[in-house]
Amino acid sequence: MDAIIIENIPFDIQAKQLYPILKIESNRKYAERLDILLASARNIACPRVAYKLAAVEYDNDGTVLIDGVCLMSRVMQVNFEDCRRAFPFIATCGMELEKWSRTLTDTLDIFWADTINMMALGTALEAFKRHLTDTFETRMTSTMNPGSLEDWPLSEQHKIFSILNAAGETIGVQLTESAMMVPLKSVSGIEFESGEKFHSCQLCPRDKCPSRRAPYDEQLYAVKYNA
Amino acid sequence: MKESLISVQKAVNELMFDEIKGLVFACLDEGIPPLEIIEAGISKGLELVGEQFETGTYFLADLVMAGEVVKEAMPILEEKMDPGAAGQKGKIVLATVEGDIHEIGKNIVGMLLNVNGYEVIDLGVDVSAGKILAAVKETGARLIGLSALLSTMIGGIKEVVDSVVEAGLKDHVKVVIGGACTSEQLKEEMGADGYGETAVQAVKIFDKLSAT
Ligand code: B12
Ligand code: SF4
Repeated sequence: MDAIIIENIPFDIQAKQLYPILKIESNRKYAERLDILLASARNIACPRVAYKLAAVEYDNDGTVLIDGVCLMSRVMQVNFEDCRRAFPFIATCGMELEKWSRTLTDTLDIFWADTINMMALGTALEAFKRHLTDTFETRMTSTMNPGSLEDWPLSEQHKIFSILNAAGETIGVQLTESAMMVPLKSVSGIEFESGEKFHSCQLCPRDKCPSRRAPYDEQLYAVKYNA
Repeated sequence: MKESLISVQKAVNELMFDEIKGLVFACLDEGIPPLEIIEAGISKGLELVGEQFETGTYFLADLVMAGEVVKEAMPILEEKMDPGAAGQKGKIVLATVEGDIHEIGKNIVGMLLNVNGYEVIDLGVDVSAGKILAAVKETGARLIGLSALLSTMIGGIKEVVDSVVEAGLKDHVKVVIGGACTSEQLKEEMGADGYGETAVQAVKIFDKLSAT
């Protein structure tokens, strides 16, 4: 199957939602400044997603093949055990917002733009998950991202791009030599159907992470993933 | 301590954008020297914000907005001071290491260093050791701040440290690291001079190194 592009994703975040997050609810001067910044962001924002419905197969040694491309992750082998299909994807805030944020010079504007661009990326990811439910009637899905755990190295990000053919470029996402994506507020990964929710955080001991979504389970790797 | 200085501290600590200017003028009217207002009022207020950030009562946005309160007050004070005495603590070349694009933490560190009296030369993300060294030579900066979040890119730190050594600048230029994949231990392994776990720590460690 060809890669599918999701665009025209509405980015209609309201300034009022941002005031409390950015701690400016009580100040008109800053609120007005944010209104202007957000309006210019909303004018150009074009978050996008490229994804593919891909077949999940296994090599003789159990290695996972996604649309024939072999991915080196033990955790994936176990997580994808009952999957026959999966959805490799790239999601981005869009190059329009990226370019816009590069023109800002004031540190406060830059901080606010970081937040706005992260929200645009979040909007793209939400739209992607809604789209999967609507189109494929997926129930519970979980995500794996290359580079999040040592088990699935960052270098495998190249493979996600190759599975999606040129769709990464179509949505304006480029890979740098070190396998980083530009626009910076982009993520790549594979969405898969799972009986129970999987979060990389369950296998990640990093403390004080602002984005932790599940507690670290010290035993989990040994119990579930050790070959 | 004078009541008016305590009010300035409080204004910074409690993010009182609208009041800060009036309170600074009140201190000046009382004849308190601008440098004392900066040190005993503003910096102390920022320190309190830092403590609350470290204990988790304040979040990133609070830290950033405290910086803005300070920015409201500084022009008034700088105008009354001798040029060069405005607490300019020196230049810092700041970057996210080559191969890494995580920028949010670096930006916060840059902002906080800036309101604490440093001139920050922010080179952005994915910056090579060569570019960092060139910026150090061009600006005469004696401090480098490196942000690294990707564990696969820590080699970028070593390259910067090595290039500083090769350029014969080791005694003059100090390298401080920070970001999720860094630690005190990594600092030792890489031969860097400092490690800061948070933006608040970053200011403390740069203050310490620039005083030596
Ligand atoms: C936010 C975030 C993102 C965002 C924003 C990225 C950006 N442009 O900045 C998004 C969602 C886009 C993202 C994407 C990715 N990310 Co990311 N990301 C994070 C996350 C969750 C938080 C980082 C952050 O901004 N924190 C908030 C700031 C304020 O904190 P901070 O950076 O730590 O900075 C503070 C201190 O460290 C210190 N500090 C920072 N720098 C410095 C410098 C000096 C000199 C000093 C003294 C102090 C200091 O002060 C700061 C303020 O207190 C981290 C996890 C983590 N725990 O760090 C992962 C993380 C860094 N990302 C990771 C990965 C793998 C990725 C992706 C490759 C995933 C993927 N396949 O899509 C992509 C790559 C994106 C790309 N463009 O190529 C991994 C890296 C793993 C590793 N191998 O090391 C991490 C650890 C998460 C994980 N395990 O999943 N990411
Ligand atoms: S805890 Fe943080 S660093 Fe670890 S996997 Fe979760 S989001 Fe990534």
